Amino acid sequence: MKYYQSPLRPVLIRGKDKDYRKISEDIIRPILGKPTVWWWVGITLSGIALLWGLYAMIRTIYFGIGEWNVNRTVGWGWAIINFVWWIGIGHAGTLISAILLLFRQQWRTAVNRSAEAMTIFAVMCAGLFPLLHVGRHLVVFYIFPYPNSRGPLWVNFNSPLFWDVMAISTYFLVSLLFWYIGLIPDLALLRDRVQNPLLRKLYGFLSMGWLGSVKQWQRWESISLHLAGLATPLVLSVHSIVSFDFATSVIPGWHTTIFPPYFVAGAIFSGFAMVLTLLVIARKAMNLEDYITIDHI
Amino acid sequence: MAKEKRARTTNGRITEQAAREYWVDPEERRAVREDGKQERSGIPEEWKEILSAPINRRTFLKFSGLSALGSAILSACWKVPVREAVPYFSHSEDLIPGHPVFYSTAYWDGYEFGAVLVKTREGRPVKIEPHPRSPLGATSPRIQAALLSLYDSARRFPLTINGKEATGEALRRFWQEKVRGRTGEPIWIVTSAGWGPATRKLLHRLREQFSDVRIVYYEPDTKSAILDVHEEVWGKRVLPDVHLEKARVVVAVDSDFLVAGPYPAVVARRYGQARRVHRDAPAQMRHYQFETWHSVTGSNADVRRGIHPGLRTAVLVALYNEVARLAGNVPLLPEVSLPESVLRVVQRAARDLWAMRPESVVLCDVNDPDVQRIVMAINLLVGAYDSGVLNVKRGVLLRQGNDHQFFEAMGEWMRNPRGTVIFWDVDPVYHYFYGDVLAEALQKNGNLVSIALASRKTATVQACQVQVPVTQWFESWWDYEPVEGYVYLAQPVVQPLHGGIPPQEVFLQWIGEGTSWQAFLKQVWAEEVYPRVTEQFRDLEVFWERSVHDTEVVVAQGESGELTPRIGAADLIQRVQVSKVIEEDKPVLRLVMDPILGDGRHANNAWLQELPHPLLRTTWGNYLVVNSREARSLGWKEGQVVRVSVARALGGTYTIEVPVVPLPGQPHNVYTLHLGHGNTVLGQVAQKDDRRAEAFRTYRERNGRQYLDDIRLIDGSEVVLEETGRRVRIPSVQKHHRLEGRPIVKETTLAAYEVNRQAGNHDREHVKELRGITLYPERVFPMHHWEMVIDLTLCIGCGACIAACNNENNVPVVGPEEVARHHEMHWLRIDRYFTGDEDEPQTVYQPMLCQQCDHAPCENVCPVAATNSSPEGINQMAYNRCIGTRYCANNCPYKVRRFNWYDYTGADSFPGNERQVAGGPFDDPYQKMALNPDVVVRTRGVMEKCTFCIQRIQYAKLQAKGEGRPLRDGDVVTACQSACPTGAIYFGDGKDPNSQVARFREEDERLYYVLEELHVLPSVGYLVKIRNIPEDLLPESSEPADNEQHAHHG
Repeated sequence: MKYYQSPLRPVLIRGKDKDYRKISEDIIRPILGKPTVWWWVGITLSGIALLWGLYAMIRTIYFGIGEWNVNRTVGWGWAIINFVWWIGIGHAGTLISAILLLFRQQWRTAVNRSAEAMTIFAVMCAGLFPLLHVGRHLVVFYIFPYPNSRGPLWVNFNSPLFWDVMAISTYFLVSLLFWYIGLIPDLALLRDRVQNPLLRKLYGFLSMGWLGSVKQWQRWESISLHLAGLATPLVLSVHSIVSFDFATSVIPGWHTTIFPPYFVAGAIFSGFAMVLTLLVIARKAMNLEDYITIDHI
Repeated sequence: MAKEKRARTTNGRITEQAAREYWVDPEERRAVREDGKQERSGIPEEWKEILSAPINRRTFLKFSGLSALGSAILSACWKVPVREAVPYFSHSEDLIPGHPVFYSTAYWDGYEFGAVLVKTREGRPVKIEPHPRSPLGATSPRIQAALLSLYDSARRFPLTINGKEATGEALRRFWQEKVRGRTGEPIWIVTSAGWGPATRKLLHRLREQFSDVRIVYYEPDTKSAILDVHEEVWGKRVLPDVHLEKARVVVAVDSDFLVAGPYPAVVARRYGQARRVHRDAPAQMRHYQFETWHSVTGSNADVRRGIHPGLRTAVLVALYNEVARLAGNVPLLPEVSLPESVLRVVQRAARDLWAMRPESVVLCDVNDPDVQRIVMAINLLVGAYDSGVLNVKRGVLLRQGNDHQFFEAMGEWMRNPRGTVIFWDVDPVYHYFYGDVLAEALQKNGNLVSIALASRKTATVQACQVQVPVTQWFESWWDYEPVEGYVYLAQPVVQPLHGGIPPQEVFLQWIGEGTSWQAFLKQVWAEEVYPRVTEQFRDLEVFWERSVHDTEVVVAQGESGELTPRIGAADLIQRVQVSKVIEEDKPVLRLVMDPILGDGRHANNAWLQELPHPLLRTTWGNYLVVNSREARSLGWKEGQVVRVSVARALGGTYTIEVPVVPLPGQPHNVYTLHLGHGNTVLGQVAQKDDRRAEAFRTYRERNGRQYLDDIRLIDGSEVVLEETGRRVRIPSVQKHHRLEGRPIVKETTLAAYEVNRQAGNHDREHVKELRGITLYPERVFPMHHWEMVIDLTLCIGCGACIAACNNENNVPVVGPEEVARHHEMHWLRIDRYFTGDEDEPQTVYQPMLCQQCDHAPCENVCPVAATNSSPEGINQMAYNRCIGTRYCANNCPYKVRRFNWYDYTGADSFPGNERQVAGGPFDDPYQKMALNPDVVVRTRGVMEKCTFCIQRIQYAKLQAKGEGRPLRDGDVVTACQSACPTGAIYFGDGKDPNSQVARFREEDERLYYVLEELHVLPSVGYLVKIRNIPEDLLPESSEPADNEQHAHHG
């Protein structure tokens, strides 16, 4: 036993040959250490996918939406499917962090940060596709209700698409906050470990003077709980609102009341599946088998 | 002014093109030059240098001087097209900028006639409207779309003699040496008929000067046999003027009279008058149709039987025998056998013909004199000529095409090539099935001088030694006599756009008359027309002005004496030799005129190419039509490519590969190809439609004369049909043919309607009850509420409304590839639904446009409020607010919103991404002049849709305001409404209780709204279609309206 074990609370570190220092090193290795081969494989594949996506985007923006095979009766296609999909998988992060936090599920700590990060990027992807799918990319800012000299001309508050904009931006902000607040102690750890003075300054700035005092931990817990309370209804509402795009229209097959719960339930399932998929790869590629255990999976 | 001079000297023509040059920007002009087309003059030399050199800062400064420094910086980084705008030097008295000027004139392209009004803005024609006063003022899609053909820059070609460009002077010398010098040799003038007194006089003068002038009337859609039999019986080589408005029973045998003919739109209007059902006294002409393909006319018939060509004569013989039995006292023809289903209809049709005589008529376009004698005999028996349903006292002078005469002339050019042949705006090299042989003969035979006077660059022009560009309709003065006693004076509405002088002026030069064509015309009209109508006009000047203003002059008031047949039905029938040509059950190739393209002279018109075939719903091309059930049994799917080839008598084979389109109602064993396609020399647009079927035509001999024949036996030796195994995607506009059980179209029978005015529309009661149940407050419209009512009984599916809408609203053309991806932009479409048996379906056409809902589902989903409802009930689009989410189109239950998937119009600010369609109105700098200046051109990425022609509403409001009166019903006429030949479309202010639309809404039980149960409160109502089907011939499912509509994949 290299560290003090309080007799009052249950064992915090159950792994063999693990102590606080070892855990910190294991966790930080992917950031400060040399990337593994699998990391390179992963980044190459992602990079190729990104380049392909960029090519597709440039074509779309230069020539027009006609490059996609959407047509008169099928006005929305891949872009909106992608939007719904990304929003859907984005739900897992919030669900894992917020709802499990509220329910005091301690095992979440191993996976919540990754799930939250996935949420952030998923929501950013989700936001990208509706922007790409519009006909006139240059004037897409019309969709935001900003004060203007056109009357003033506001957006159409009746439109589910506008609700989407609001829901997604809210969701994005709350998720970002949640993720960032949770990240502060980790950033402080990085600040303490990092050798490069510039990086240390950066991490120092980002960790907002985190010292790890009891008072700080207490406030941290408190804000996390509050944010979790805010984020939990969002899990249900955001995807309900996304489903309103379809459910409130008059198109046969879309105009149905089952869509909101269906979308939410589907999102939770697919979001968990996505987290699982990512973590299965991550625990191997980043040697985190001891932390993301078989039990988690 | 310097520019104008240059225009004159380089082109050697007297035009005011320089004035029009201002519209074209040099960037586009350069593109035209690079395409190898004739260089356009009017660019100052220094500009040419700028334009040809890559622009950099230095060169630009060199030419534009320091004052242009600001723009030079811009130009150095981005090549901004230079646009010139030159104000009027002196204002024309009559011309108010922004105010349209309408010119009354007439249209005759050799295929189709129509009296029209041409709307011009700032001197350029922008819209063709039917003439409101003339009895021949109705427009087909071809006439509506002709504006694009007028501007078509591909029709330009230089005056050429033996392959070298020449001047007018050289042409005169050529004529003196090569034609006048060789006296005694024949001169053929191959042309189409219908000329007025002055042009006829001109040809007469030519005849006086030259000993052997032979005028050959050549028409691809020939009426030779009808003309021959009318000559035989009535002593006049005329077509009967068909006054269907007087008819109560029409039996048509292989006659597509609603879309093909010398003035189909006029016939359609008369048909509409007879088909219109008035609520208080319901009556409707009954229409039987027997036909060897599925025609647009047949799809409108009450009772239709698709028959194999082998049965066609038999149907007429049976019909004659039935009528003759009822008439008594006339000889019968030898009995024939017919299938029971056909015979039943024939007997019923004969009884109706006889019962309704003399207001009944048989129409038949079979080019066989024996068949036409039978038709004539029936019409004589039922008295169709006495009642004026068929009028030969004032016969039709258009379409005098004489097959025999042409074949004889053709033979002479081949065997004994001498003399001169002048093709005056006819194109036999394309239309004639041995066109290639003719072209070879014309080019080879040095002794035969061939001259083409043509307004567009056709295959015939290319084959001729002398190629003379002449003006066409709307570009110079014309006179016509389409119907005996009605002469038309057509004034020019625009200076010749692509060069050329009036063809009559060429003839005037050749006969040595010093006068201009206009002076000659005026003189002849003063001498020949004015004396016949002197009492109507104060003096000659008034006469001339009125003639120009009205276009039409009726020179023969009242009926011109009695006209009796030289030979009665009984004697006529003795001369009939019924000969069986084709066995039933043998596969045949049936060639028919295309209902949209006509005979193919407009093949380079992108508006027409993209207009869907009313029945097939296909665009941009020629397709092999096969019965849908037969196609299934053959394993042919839509788009299956089939090779059709013919071994030709003069050697060689002609082959085309053509995709199959299955069609319900097409007779079994009959394969239809449309004529009018594959006229690829006309230009880039026509090149996209390259399957020419003209070469499959043939001729038949009757009584020693030759007649064009459009039926070929597929017997494996001459015409062969083979599968290729390939399949292509067809640019078709209707893929979903099912109504999903919803009452989108409703119909009933006249008999049911007589009993109950609500017939076919009972289910609306329930929907009306639901109308009041809503959470929304009722909308209030303070001033007007624009509404439209469409009578489904009257819509014949011709497509004139679509063509008019395209023109009026600057609707882009997208090309075949885009249509195949369902990116077509038509604001108005005509949905076609079939009901009943697959082999004998009944067709309903339903024009579908924006329904201008009061609770529009498109409006509340737009996130940026780009679409909203006007206080007058019009659902409007703010194009510059639209960001293109397409949510509105998704949420539109009628699917009438159209999205600009690409930059189809060139309105986008990036030049590189424009979608070139090859020939759409936005690709050709000339055709851009056909755009309506009152309607904005939409950029890429915005949604667009029908606006109820809001610019016309605004114009009418301003007119009324200027006159200090309230708007009256009928002041606002939408483009589709004015184009509709049958008058199926009503439009007006629903707030005005006396308006026609309000009365329909309040009083007519036939009115219903499509998908009314959605409570979107549409403003476009439809009237239940009424068919006049006899009780005993009702299809098995007796009440078609209340049954589920079956639809078939076409």
